Amino acid sequence: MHKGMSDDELKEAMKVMAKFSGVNLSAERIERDLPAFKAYMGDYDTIRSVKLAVEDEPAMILRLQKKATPKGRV
Amino acid sequence: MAITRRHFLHSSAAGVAALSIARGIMAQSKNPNGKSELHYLTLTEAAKLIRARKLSPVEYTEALLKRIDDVEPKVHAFITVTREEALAAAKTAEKEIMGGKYRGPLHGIPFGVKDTHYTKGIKTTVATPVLANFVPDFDATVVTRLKNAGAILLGKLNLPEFSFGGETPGTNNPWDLKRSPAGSSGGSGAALAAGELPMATGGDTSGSIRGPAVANGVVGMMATYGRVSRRGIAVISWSLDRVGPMTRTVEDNAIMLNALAGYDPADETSSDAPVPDYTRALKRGVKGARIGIPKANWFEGYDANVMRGYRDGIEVFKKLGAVVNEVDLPPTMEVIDQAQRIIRISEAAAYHEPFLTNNQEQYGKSNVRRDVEAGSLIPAVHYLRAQRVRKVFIREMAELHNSVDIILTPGRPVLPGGQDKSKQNFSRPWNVCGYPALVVPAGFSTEPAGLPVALQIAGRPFEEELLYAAAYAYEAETKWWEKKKPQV
Repeated sequence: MHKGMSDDELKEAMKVMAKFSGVNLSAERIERDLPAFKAYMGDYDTIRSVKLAVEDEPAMILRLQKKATPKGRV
Repeated sequence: MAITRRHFLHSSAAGVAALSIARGIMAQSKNPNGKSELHYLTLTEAAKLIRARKLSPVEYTEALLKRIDDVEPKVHAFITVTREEALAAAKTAEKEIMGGKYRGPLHGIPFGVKDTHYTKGIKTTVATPVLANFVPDFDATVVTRLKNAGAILLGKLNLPEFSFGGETPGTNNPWDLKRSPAGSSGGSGAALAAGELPMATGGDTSGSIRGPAVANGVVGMMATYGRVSRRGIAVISWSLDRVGPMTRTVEDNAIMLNALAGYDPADETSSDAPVPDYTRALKRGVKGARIGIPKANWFEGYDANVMRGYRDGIEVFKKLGAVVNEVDLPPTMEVIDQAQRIIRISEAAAYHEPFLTNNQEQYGKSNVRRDVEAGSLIPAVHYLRAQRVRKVFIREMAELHNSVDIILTPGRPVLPGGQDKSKQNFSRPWNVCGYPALVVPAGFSTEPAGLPVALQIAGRPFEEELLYAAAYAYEAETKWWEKKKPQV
């Protein structure tokens, strides 16, 4: 994904997304934020390796349940 | 009539047995010079003395304030010491106990909270210039719960800006003042190790209770998501953040979680599952418990001292009767840290939106502004994919726990101040799945000598009792805390 993009392309994308999102990012700030943005894009590339079924829903609000005690457990 | 400390002691209804307990405890808490050290009493020891009216809450609070005066110039664990409020609360506790209204084991016991916790009328800075003058008009639920149990707020503890990161700038590790106490609850860990407090709270989004607990040689519990209210805690990530107890012993930790745990209607993610008395489980032992350990390839990049403590810990659990076997970890474990980072920073960016709009020039010198600005550009689809991966991971973890009760790992890959180059540090996966995880001291390094290492004991949702039982059995067998204390 982002690996094929140059830093200038990424900075341009950041500029457009910031404007679109209402985030006030100067050219200097975009320069400073670029390493963090590239790291997040890298993380996304990594998690794309997980095969998801179309039925897989996001864990939006975590509600965990106590399971019945399995056999063999103390 | 004014209450005096002498009056408190002389009004004791306790008999010879109580005096004997008190003398035994005081003897154990002597320093190498033979001088009694109130500041290194465990919560349990102090509670026994207070209940027996052998220790006044005022005396105890004054002793800890004196300790803070003595060591804070070196440790710097606190952002705010609530001296006057603490002494007033101690006098109230003393009066209540003298009047026969003993509330339980936290009555008259001082505590500290990470400075992310809202405290009514007391500054809550979150260690950022953005909130330097923020004074909440209500207490966080956990603060209210501790106060209702009779505990005494002694101060607010240091953290990195907005709780971002695994270090705590400004605070020094009592085991070696040149080293980091880790983070983000580094002030809490350092204050406990230095004997400034017997109990403190921490917050954990990526390992921030457990890392500092390990680095400072204390016990930290990240209970099941929803078990402890997050109401009134400054946020990193709504779906990952947890608050929990940090103490010097396992029993102290269970007592503290008894007070912290429970349903809070003001926290939408709070669980209404019944809360057990966690101290009842302590002596169950681990005989027959099925402990899973990851295969060796997961420990690439781990410090040799850490691995020695881990291997020794495995042998202790075998000796205690646990059934220890290697397990295959879920496939998604390989990428779960990346999913965690996307979730964490996307939610953080949303939380920071008003600060980025109105206070962007007030951020400190850390990378928080950079990280949340960049995080605010992450597309929603990326965030949702990360949350879908999370759901898969939770399913896989549940399957893994069909064959094991506990997953045992090192508490942290590196010694305090070390650079983490591990493939997987076994912190974030438990934030992602919401399951509970506890760290317990597991001895000390030999090269360099004397730095704490620890074990992480993790289990199924709402099975904190089993984690406490395992940790208590291990602690009783090894007694690391009793063997050595930091020389601050």
